[in-house]
Amino acid sequence: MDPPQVYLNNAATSWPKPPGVIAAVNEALRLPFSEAGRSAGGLSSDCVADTRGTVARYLHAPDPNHVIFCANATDALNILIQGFAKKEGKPFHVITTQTDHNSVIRPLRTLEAEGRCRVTVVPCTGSHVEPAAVAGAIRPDTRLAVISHGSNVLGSVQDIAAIGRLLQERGIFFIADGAQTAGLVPLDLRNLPVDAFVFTGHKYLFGFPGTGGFYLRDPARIAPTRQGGTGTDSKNPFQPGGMPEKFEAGTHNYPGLVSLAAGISFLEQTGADAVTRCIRKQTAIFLEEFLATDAIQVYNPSPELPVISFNIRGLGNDDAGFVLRKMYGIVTRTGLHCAPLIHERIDGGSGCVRISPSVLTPQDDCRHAAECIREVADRANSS
Amino acid sequence: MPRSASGRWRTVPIAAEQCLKNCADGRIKKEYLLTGPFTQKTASCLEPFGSVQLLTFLPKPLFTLVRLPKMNMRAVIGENVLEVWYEPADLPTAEPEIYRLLAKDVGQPED
Ligand SMILES: Cc1ncc(COP(=O)(O)O)c(C=O)c1O
Repeated sequence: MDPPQVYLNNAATSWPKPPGVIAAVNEALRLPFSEAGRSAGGLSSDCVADTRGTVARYLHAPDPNHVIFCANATDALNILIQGFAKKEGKPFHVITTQTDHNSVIRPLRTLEAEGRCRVTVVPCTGSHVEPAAVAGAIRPDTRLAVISHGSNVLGSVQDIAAIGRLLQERGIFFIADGAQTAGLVPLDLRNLPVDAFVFTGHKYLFGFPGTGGFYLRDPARIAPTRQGGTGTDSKNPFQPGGMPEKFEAGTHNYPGLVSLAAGISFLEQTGADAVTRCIRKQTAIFLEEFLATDAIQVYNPSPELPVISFNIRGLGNDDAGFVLRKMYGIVTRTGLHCAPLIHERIDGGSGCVRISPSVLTPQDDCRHAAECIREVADRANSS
Repeated sequence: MPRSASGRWRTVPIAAEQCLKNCADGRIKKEYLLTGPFTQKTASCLEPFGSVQLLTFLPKPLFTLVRLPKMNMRAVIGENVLEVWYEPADLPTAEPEIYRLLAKDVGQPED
């Protein structure tokens, strides 16, 4: 199968991966994983610990052992939400927002249906969740807040520092979902007032699908929800309580973790400023074209992330995505993007087209795609 | 592929089908690879199924069909892929109906 001419679905999973990521995984697959890191000097190295160190360095996480790996951001959110509820024991109130993804909404609604929590969804104003709106949702029994840092539909970034401070003052445990921001927004977990920060490896960190995890400041706040082999303390019939073993059981995704470390190396070599400049330029290219016509309705004209959601007047989003893919070779994402609540507000729940380039999408491709989308919109509205 | 009343696999102009996962509104997206190009005649065969439109303003004409409340389908005229979005509850009845209507396109009996 031929590759697409222009891939604009990086908010789902990034493509292409940097050549260094593919090379690192190829190299690692040549040897058994226990041997892959053996240096010329004969000392062994451990790709899991190395990647943990890389993630901690990149996110400025104070303790690498508090970086936990799992299958993806959804898995991380489930471990944290379920583990918080288990530790809490009795029913509590939890806050989330209209921009949140089903990986937050579904675990919370499931707990609610089991009578283990009550959920309040804070609406957003424009494309942002106002810290004051979060403060207004707090009740005496509020114990948890799970809030997406970056919206995968609007491309907006929430002020999780301000939100975190007000939650911290009230002793509310705060999980920030950084699935869309890790790799795009500079993060410093030493200073960010979050109790847990969730990342995914396969989007803007450029690792392979099947990678992700979280940083957890105080492991005592979360009960482990899975048990199994850790390669340590094998005579202990219970899950070891130390970090990271408390939350990691079973064999790791070694090639995935090698890809994640190589993806982060790529980002470090590129530099955060260059990433920011690139995504600003890319969004400007699309917006210049889209905002110049009434035929395209853009749902957030000033996204902070390289995510632009829109509809073409007179053409359903499924039709628009199909036409772009089949007639122009442009891959977009249509529908609700697993974030149904925000769509209720922006498009009446019928969905939209989303484009999301990455730093590896050439600017000429962005320009070409912007012109093609504009052409489709103009054609649809010409009569 | 649905069976005919006689219990034999019915011959239809669909070479392969693929169910695709999509984060939409809970609908199921399926792609059908047709044995030949989707033509205006194919489009007319599907007319009893919903409201058909031919969008001629695009670089190639696009067939679209909407069946309320939430089903829709589309194909580029001259190409051999048909994309259909189903409501999960409708899939068991709607899909054989599509096979049956498409069978008319290649002159197969309708049972
Ligand atoms: C905001 C947000 N949270 C969570 C997820 C889930 O990520 P993953 O696919 O890695 O589980 C996504 C992915 O689309 C997302 O956009």
